[in-house]
Amino acid sequence: METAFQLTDLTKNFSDFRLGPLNLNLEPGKVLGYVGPNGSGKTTTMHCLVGLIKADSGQAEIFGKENNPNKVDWKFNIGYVGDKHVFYENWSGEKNLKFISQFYPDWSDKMAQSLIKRFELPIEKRAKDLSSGNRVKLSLVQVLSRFPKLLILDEPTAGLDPVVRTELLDILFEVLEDGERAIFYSTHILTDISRLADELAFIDNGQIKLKAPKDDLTDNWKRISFKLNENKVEFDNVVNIENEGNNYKVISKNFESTLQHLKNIGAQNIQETRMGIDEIAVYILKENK
Amino acid sequence: MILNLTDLSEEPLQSQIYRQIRAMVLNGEINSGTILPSIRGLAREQKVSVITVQRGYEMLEREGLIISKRGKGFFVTDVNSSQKKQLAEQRLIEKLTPVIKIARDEGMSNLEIKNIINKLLAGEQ
Amino acid sequence: MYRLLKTEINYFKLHLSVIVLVSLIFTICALNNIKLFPQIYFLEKYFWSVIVGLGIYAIVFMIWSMRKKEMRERQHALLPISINKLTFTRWLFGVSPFILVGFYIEMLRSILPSQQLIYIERINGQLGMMFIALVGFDLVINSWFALQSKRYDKRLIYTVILSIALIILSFGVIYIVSASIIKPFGFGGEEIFFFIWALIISLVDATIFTKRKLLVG
Repeated sequence: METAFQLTDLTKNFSDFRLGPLNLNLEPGKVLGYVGPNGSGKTTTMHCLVGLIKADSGQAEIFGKENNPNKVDWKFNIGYVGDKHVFYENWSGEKNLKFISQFYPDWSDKMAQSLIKRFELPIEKRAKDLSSGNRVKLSLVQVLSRFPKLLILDEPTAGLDPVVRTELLDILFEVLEDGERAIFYSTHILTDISRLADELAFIDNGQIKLKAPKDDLTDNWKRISFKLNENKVEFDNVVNIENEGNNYKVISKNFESTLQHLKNIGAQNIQETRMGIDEIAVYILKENK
Repeated sequence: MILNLTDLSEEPLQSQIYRQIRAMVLNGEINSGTILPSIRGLAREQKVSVITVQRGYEMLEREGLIISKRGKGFFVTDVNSSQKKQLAEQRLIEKLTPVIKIARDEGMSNLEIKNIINKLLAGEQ
Repeated sequence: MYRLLKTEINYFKLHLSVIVLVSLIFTICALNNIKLFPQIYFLEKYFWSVIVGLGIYAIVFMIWSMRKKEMRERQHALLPISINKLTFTRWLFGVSPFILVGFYIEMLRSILPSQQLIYIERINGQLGMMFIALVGFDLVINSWFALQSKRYDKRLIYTVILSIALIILSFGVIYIVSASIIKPFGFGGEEIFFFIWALIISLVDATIFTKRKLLVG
């Protein structure tokens, strides 16, 4: 099956940081959230994918095409809103859009206008006079107005106020309605946008620790409280243990298996609660550190 | 389709979707043969991920309440009223069993439990 | 490619029109034999070479530092344009102010009466040196990014300082060598060597640009 993007054994070495080998892919129509602390390699992964950084080894493919800097048809399929928003700073937002539009046959002025209106973007202002939130919006308009099949968004909600974040979320859901299109976004905190994600990949220190469907994580990770008469410190699939005498509270990464184990060792009053995905993320990134 | 989904509940989003659509099918709010919203459409409407809706639909499909027709979407199947009743009963039993167990654990007799249920049913009307 | 070049020219039209204006004023002075410093021969002799040479250098330098500040390489690298075309556009945009003005000065030289050549002397020498300085500087930066994966660090600054020293040193060498080659044939245009050298460096620079590992700006 064709993937929206596919990274195969991708590596990149800096003098003070090593990324990979990374293996990561995304199916068309799906949303992949890329979660990790600052400096974990999220931005570098995206730079390698969009061709701003040449990887040391490994491959990056977009809809089956290698990201070759000299055969650029793959670039029509990606819309990248990066860590920096680059414009002709002395030109108005409008003029910047006009510049971009001439390179993309699929560009729609109508789409651009409707996005500008929804974002309430002051399009007549010079790029350098725009607030950081408005710069993000201008970048998004540049990208969304040409309907790329794969959106690559580096911390897209950073610097946006809650109202605009909701508007952006609405727009991204609209983007997805056409079943071919995919979104790859990064974030260091799981916020409102995490509702959009089908899958989450967790990265720390240049390595992917886990990639799983979001709903599996929220189904499998549970906080369990119980009573146990013996003093025990080892439980099956548990990442965190708190206890006060016989009362225990643990965090399980595989609820069914932990529950079975607890029943086997004779735990009483077993009660479980679900965990928020942001909480789960913290434990995944903390694990095996 | 009006669903009421929340992140704050103990119940996973996919189960909320499943339970709420199931209720609409069983109480006849949605007739058999009705097309359900597309997975992507519902995901967008409810602001949840595609997989979440997909899983909710799969649960409905497994129970035989809806059927997917290739390229056309999901349809509510022709469930007759006795089947509907059976499904609803089954659910009630599923939900009541642990509640009754808790009540017994806390020292209530069968009669006391029955009385309370009767009181509740009377009070609702 | 053409669209990109057009955009850059449009964006920097104010800068570029200053170059045209300076050349125009110079032309008027030269053709009409207008002496700005009739009393001071020394000033008269060097004034235009400094104004044209350094002036154009300053403007081109301003353009390129603005491009750097606005991360133009990143912006353009994201467009659906191949790196080869991108490099060619960049090269053309970089060298053309020097080549065009240099060529224009040579044209003037050929039509100017001999007593007015005081205006022309040394201009292209000066301009050619500035040309080398600029492409040399760019070559250092691009080589750095073609070899290194790291962003900036102290070593880059040392390398740049060292290469600037080497570039300035090479001016003298180029001048002496080219003069000794040309003199026997009776030419007076040693400065053409500065341009040839600058062009060679710029082509090497362009090749290296396509090999850059980092285009993040």
